[in-house]
Amino acid sequence: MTSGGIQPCVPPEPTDEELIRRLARGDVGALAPLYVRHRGVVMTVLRQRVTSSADLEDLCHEVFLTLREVARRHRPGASVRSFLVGIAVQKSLKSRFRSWLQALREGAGEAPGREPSVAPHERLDVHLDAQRLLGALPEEWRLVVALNLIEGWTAEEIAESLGVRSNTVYTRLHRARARLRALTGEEP
Amino acid sequence: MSDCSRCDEWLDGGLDQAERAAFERHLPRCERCARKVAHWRALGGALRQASAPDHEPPPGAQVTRLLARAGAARAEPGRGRLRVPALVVVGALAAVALVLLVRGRLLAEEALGVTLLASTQASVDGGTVETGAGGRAVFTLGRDTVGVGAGTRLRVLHAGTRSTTLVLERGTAALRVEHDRGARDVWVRTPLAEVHVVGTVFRARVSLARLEVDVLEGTVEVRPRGRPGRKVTAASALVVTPEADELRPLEVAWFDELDATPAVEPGPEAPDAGPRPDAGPEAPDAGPPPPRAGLRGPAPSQAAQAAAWRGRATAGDCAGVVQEISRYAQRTSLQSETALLWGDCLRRLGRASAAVEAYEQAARGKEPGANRARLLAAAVLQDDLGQPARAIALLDAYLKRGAELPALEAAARVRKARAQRALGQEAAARAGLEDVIRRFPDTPAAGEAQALLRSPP
Repeated sequence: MTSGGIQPCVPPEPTDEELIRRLARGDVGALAPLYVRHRGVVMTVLRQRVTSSADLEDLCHEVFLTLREVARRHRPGASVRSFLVGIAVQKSLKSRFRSWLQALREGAGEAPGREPSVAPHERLDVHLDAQRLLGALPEEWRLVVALNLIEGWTAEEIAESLGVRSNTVYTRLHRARARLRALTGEEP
Repeated sequence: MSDCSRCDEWLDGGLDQAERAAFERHLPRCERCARKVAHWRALGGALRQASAPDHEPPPGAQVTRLLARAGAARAEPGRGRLRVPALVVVGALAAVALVLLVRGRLLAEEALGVTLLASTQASVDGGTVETGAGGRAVFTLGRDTVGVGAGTRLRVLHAGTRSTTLVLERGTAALRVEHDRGARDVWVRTPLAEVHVVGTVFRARVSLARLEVDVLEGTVEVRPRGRPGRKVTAASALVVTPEADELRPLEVAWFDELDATPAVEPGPEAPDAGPRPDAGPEAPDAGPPPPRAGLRGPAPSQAAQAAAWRGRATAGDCAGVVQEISRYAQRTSLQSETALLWGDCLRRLGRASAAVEAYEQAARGKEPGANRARLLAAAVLQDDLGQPARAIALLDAYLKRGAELPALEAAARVRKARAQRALGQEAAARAGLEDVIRRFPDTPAAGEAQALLRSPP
């Protein structure tokens, strides 16, 4: 920090882009503001994809620690948020693989990561059973719906961060809506 | 397009400003759209409420813990901080070690045995692991771990400290291969391709006409028969079919679904593919006994029976499989996957007309494989029976419903152009080929289209 001269009272918040560049140069301090800003979306991804028994907060930290290691690979101009979602998806896959292998090694009957299903004639309430409704969707749809509904991302933004075509996201959202309406007894 | 049909796009944020304004004028006047929007928003509200704590600023203790972990990881000795002299020393030592290692390995290779860790409905006979419809098994080969899914037959052809070769005849296998700095080769042979592994976590899923390789960590090289090899890196999946191969991002956690039926599934976005997985009707009691409680596996079903037939067909018993499916078809209606397998076997036996009938039967189904049956039927009509006009009709129907992969769409369009050429419709054929080159430049079909354009009609 320089002394003297006129300094603004509140320094402008550094952008994600600036922070990730600092991180790529080895400035670990840049991790804190990125974590504060994007922990929510990372947790949204992890919640949809990891078993409840896993330590989500710990896994969330691992996502940000990996971000530090791969910050150099971030393309200038690309969204840091999307970059983090990509890392979170990979982390969740690896975490579930570890749990799966562990369960098999121990001879456990139940494979991890199963969502409780909805009975054929059960009607769920959109307000009371929101998490169960989401859990009743196929895995590929679930994350797309969560990013759209919880994070408010558009289909284009979701497509960019998951590396899939935007038409794929539109299809998933469309089908998820139809499915959710059926599960809640709404008209199609 | 009516305003109601824009409701989904409006919710997805897919409309431009003018379209959005038009829909927002429509919304207050349309009860149906208003209900749809309210339903979606109510769900969004409930989900946001449930996840609110995640979106609050994290407590300072969490931030401190994260920074402490980041600092600790950075302070690990030697991590990314080797100076040049150290690198030289390490390099020289590594070279000496490598020479010793290679010499040692050239002298003798130690054989590795199969050590079974856990299994359900699985038999291990010598080096062959076979699982039933709801079965699975996990075993180690030296330091590597292999998980085997339902309806799988995997042979350990050779396992040693220098190289390991596995033959995945059918079903699903997940491998975690320890990275040995290239000192050891691991090969997985499948009917469509060979997979070369150095050190990675990946899953291969095999059926007669499809191989899926999903890579979680590291890199594998997949060498489809008759086509150049493809590198598949972490978080990617490669789908190999006889016609083409396509890379896509890895999205779904496959490993805890190893006990699902290893049936051929197209991409989940195929237009006529309905919601998975609880939609399919249960078939009559023809399969093996149900899996034990707690393990997810298909109930005794036609799918399980089909998995067993598929394995026999891969092993060469097409005649036996055709006989059994024919008898089975008299008792019950065939699901698309079974009818597809029937068609594949009939074609292998040289019974082209019967194969077309089986494929057409598969195409009438609602299951994921149904549309692909049209492409296969068109191939037989064109290549084996010389009926280009019928082939074009089927290809049009296939394309209208949407191909599973861009590479398959390109292959279908090239096939259609060849059929048009056979019928003397040269202008249409050329237009089709040019379209493929323009729209699918990275597919093998584009190369074929260029070659066809250069060749005389």
